[in-house]
Amino acid sequence: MAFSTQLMKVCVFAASSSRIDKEYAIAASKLGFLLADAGVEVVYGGGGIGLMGKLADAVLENGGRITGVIPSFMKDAGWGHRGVKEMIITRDMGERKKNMFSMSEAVIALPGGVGTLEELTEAITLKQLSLFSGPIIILNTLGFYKSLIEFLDNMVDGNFLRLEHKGIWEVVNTPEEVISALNNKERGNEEWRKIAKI
Amino acid sequence: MALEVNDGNFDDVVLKSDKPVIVDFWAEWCGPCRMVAPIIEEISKEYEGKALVTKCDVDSSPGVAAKFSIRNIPTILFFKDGKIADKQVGAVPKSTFVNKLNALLQ
Repeated sequence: MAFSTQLMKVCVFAASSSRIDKEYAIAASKLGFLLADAGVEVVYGGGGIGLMGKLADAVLENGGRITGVIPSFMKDAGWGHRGVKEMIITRDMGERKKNMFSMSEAVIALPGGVGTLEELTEAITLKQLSLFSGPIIILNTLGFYKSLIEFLDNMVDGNFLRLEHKGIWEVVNTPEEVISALNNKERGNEEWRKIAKI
Repeated sequence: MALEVNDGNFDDVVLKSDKPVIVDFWAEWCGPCRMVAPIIEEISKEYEGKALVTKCDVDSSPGVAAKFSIRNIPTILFFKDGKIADKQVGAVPKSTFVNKLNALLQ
């Protein structure tokens, strides 16, 4: 168990779909297990299905701490994880994200649909504006995020995004590498936090 | 409150000032500049009457930015008697700015 991740609050964004390749579920479960083992407190969208559900199940099974943040309309529709005791109910999606970001010291994005994509890109935007600090780690299981990474490179090529801002996120391939990334204090070139080039 | 300077008023406000002047070069899209902004505001209040604290948006004042070869932001220039006396590039703690400013007030 690594000391530096103990009690670290980490937000995980992930798919709500359960119809996806089981490799994704295996990775999500593994991640949940490792996060619990590392003493990380997980904050997530509160869902009981898809990769969110798998992650929460694994965290709970391994004695980890997890808090769900769910908008009331989703809870009322029965989408909340039945086993997660710490559940924060929000008025709407905006308040949900605001809470999740303010509670977290790091963000992990698992493969997901547009909800996950939107949450990941909001995290990147907030960090670029210095409104969020902390690692943003993309778990690229089965190369899921390959085309997003290429799209972001296109943004840099077209000068829509600064090259130095690529340091905002980190792409890893396995759940174990996620834990290493959380532990890693020397996080590559973070000069962009101090200086922007004109 | 930090005073806005631009291509139009820079010479009069900064170069002709009888007090030391801080110029905080910034832009809206610059994250580190946002971190420095509250520090500059505090210094502006604390040194009122002793030093002039100003801000220059590089996007709307390209002339001034080019004149002083501003390549990276935030860049904070310290002026005394119309000349650059000190410089700080990048976001740093308040004490760094304060020490540089105090040196000019001696």
